[in-house]
Amino acid sequence: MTVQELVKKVFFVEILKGLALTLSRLFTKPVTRRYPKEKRPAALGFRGLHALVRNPATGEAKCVGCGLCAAICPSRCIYIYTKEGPDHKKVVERYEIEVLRCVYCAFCVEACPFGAVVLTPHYEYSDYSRDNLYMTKEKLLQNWDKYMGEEGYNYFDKFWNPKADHFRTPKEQPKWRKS
Amino acid sequence: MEEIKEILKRYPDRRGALLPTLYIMQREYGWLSQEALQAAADALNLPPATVKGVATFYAMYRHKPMGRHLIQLCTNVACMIMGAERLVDLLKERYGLEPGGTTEDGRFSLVIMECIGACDRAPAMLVDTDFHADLNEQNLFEILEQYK
Amino acid sequence: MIELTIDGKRIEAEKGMTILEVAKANNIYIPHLCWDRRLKPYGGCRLCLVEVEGQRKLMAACSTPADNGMVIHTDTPNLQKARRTVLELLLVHHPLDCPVCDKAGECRLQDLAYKYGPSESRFYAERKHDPEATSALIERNPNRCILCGRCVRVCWEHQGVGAINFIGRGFKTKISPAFEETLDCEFCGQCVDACPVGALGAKPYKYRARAWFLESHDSICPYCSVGCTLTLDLREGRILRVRGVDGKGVNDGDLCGKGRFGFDFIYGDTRLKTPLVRKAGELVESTWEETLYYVANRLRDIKRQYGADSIGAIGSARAGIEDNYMLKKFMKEVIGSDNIDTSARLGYAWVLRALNDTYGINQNPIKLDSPIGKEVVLVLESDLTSTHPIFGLKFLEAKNEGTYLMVADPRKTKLARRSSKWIRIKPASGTVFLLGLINYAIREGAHLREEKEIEGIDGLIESVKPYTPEKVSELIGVDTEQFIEAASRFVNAETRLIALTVGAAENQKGYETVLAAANLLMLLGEGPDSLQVPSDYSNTLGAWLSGTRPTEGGKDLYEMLYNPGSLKALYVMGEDPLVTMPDGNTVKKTLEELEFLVVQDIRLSETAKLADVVLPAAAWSEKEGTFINSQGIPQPFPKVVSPQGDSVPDWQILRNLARVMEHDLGITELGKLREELSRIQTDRGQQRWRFSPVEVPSVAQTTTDYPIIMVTGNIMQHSGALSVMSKSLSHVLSDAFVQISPEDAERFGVKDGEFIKISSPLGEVFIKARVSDEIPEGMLFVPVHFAHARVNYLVSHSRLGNAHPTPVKIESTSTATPRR
Repeated sequence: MTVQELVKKVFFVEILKGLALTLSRLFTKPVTRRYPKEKRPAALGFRGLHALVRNPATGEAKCVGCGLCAAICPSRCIYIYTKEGPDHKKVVERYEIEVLRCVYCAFCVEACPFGAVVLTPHYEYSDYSRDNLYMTKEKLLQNWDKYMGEEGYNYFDKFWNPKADHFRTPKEQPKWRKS
Repeated sequence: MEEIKEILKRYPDRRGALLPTLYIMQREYGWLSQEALQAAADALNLPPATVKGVATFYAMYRHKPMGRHLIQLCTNVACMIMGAERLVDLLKERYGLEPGGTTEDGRFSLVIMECIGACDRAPAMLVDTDFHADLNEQNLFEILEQYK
Repeated sequence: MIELTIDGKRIEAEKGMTILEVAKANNIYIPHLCWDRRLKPYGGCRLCLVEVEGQRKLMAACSTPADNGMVIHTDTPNLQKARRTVLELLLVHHPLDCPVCDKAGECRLQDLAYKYGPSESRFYAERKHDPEATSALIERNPNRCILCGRCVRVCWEHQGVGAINFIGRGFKTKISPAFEETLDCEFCGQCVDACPVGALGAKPYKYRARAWFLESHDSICPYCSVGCTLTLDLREGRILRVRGVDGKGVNDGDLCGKGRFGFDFIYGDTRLKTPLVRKAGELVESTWEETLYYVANRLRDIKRQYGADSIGAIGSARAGIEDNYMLKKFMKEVIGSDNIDTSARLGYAWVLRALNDTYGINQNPIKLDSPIGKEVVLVLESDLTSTHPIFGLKFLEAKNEGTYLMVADPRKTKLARRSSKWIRIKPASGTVFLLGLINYAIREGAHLREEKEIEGIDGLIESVKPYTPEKVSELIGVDTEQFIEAASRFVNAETRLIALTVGAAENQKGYETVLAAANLLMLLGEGPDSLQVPSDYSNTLGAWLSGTRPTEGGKDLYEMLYNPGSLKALYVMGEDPLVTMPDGNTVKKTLEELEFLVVQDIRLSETAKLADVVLPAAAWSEKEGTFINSQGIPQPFPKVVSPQGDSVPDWQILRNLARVMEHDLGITELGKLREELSRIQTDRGQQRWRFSPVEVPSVAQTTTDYPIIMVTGNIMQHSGALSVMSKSLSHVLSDAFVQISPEDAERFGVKDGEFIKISSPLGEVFIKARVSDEIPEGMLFVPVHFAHARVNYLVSHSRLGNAHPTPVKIESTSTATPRR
């Protein structure tokens, strides 16, 4: 043990250094938030609670039930049941997400060709019962209304850039000669 | 029916006799109605779908009732250059005859053909089975007036 | 043998194979859309282009024969470019509605576009906007169609139907039935499997699940005795669809409508879910424990009172061999009775008997490929493409390959339509036709060609003496020249085959028909392989081989069911004698006179409604089991869904019942049961040929009272108890009907679709008439097995197994309502 070390040990130099920092922090502004009272605004693209996008034109979910989200989902927590509707169109009967099993990778959002599923910035949804965190189609649509609403569409295009836009049918169509 | 049996002998299988049979049906019925196609199918023991499929593939079969005389006018390149499209317009003005249509009195039907092999004497047309070439705005109607 | 090089690999191949076939055989992938193993090369999609060295152009691999010394490249930048362009052109009109298309995930076009295609096309065109066309079971979406023509060609070339074709040409071409009407075919669904894109789909599966949600299991079809391998696609424990997968099973990927769409009988509304016990005249729900104790006590009482011989059992041609064996074991060890039989007694048993009387063999499994390569094939009064559809397809295939297909049938069946020669004989005169052939063969001296002398030849010659061509042609109702021409073709052929069915549901053929056929073939020196008589149902042969028949002198089906009072108790497993067996009145009387009737079934059948106890059994695919198909191949099928309600597999019910009766059968689990089954020796018998003269029962004569002959049978979509439970199949055809010729319809004043009264000396029935030119004058054809039109009440049975068509009379009753 050198003399220098001995001095440090006897006079608690290290401890005092640490306490000095503590003391200095007493007079600075705290970086922590007082969470339940003070909330952190989520940034664009935050992966919070799931929602189904409401189609502004029809008021129904945009989802057509292609099942790509369920196919890509690594934790297999999306269930989609479709059936034939009265006008022979495909109808999404049930769209369910087991939120508790979700790993928030947002692959589902990326896979969706229609931009119909999204992770909202809402993150406060702990509950006492598992059932409440089993999202049905109605609940997911309500989530959209509650946590995204009108500005959601804006957010969506800016951040997620849905694939459907890349594969649009061309607007200009050549005219055929009638025969 | 006898004629169809005759034709059947000439072909190795029944499908081969389909085109001539359809010609006969067209001649007998005037055009290939559902009835005519069904009759052809029954005569050859082929499914109606096969008969209909073949009939709709070839341009020489008629799927609508036709007028008394059938004008087949070529508007392919050579004829077009020589003014065949003008003739089409004239027919419309004079008889109200649209391509693919029939005049109201049932006298003419017009079908636009893709080249009838008379480019050297364009524009050309067939009226029923008669061939007429070197058409122009005057002689077109002179020729057509022969067909009542 | 030729040798060629594909992608640097030296390959040997047979001459005549196309490049694509050679590549496939050697696991070299060449993309293709329009090629199908079963069909002639078409060269429509142009995706299978390959480079052949020394050739300036790209060659279509599917239609270019491989040649010696060819050097082929299947994947070069040049080819990729060509394929990309081809795909681009295909996609010009193909809608990109993959997210809602049911084919997505297993779509060949999607896969290829993913592999080769750019995400954007250089070509723009109006996409098609034709409306979807639905039909009973097949859904057509003309917009998605790429006009590869596989459906058209499968339907015509392979299936022999030709319900659809290309209509129109150019961009406007679409696949459609002839006159844009709703598709009304036999609904085999082969086109659905053939379609590489989503243009054709099975309606019951429409929008039900995505391809990647499904899990697949292979199973064996529960309908006819061909025993096709079905690939069941399940989602969350429910079967959603059935596919045939190329190269799997005896069917090699082919399926009929029953197999493909009929699986949903297990979800039928009439399924039994709990045991039922009759209390105060009503069947009331009960528990397994109570019910089994009740059954055990009653059986014990009856055994004590009347002896074991008063108890009988009927096994099922539709349950696995395990179930049937267990019933046999139960009857033998617990009850001590040998009174056990199945519906095979009414049909297939007579076939075996006839074979034994002639060839001396006990079994004659069919071979599916047997018609192929034969010079002449005779199909006798059998609608094989309806009763055994996949076996029937082989006859069409043989015909396409040059076999002379002769069909002797009063009905204009599919085989008759596609035959080389259709002889429209009178109903039920098949036996006479065969005897006429024997007579002709003897005249031609066919019996002198064989060196070996066969026992009983003189008796045969004597017995067929009256059947001169003139007489026969009069009896069967055809021209003499026509008969002689057919006979000479058949007798003078190098190789030949006779195929027919003898089933419980059919009344125009019987023991003597098979006997006559066997005699004829022996006379011409043909072995039993030339006589193809398939068994009826999925496990008719299995039930027979596993010993579900009296083996020690017990009562057979005739003695049990047509002899009121001979039994006191009857245990019916998976059979509905009241609907499926002839002479329903006697059967009903027998059943009513029983003291105790137990019915173990998957649904509340008509017989079950008479029962004292009804036990719910697990259906096919709700239990493991094994079917023995008509080729004699035991094919196990797995359990893939959970049983409905409280139903239990048949063999377990019997095991439990034995336990309740304090009897240990020594079988606790299926493995043990199968082990015991595998020890059963089946004896094919030694061939010992002898002629057995045929006594022809007089061909049913029509009288002035009963002027028309009724023939019963099975049809394409329905073959009995299971199919009528299927919603899909009932969607195609739900009502009982009788087919009547236009001539007779006019004669008796019957309109299409109206109810008529058919009566025979045994009873009468009200049924809907369908005027059809498939039927000749003087004949009615009625499919059996519809519970609300019990045609079997009109049909008599014969203990000699003879054909017994029924003369009946019909009356138009526009005002009458069907009797329930």
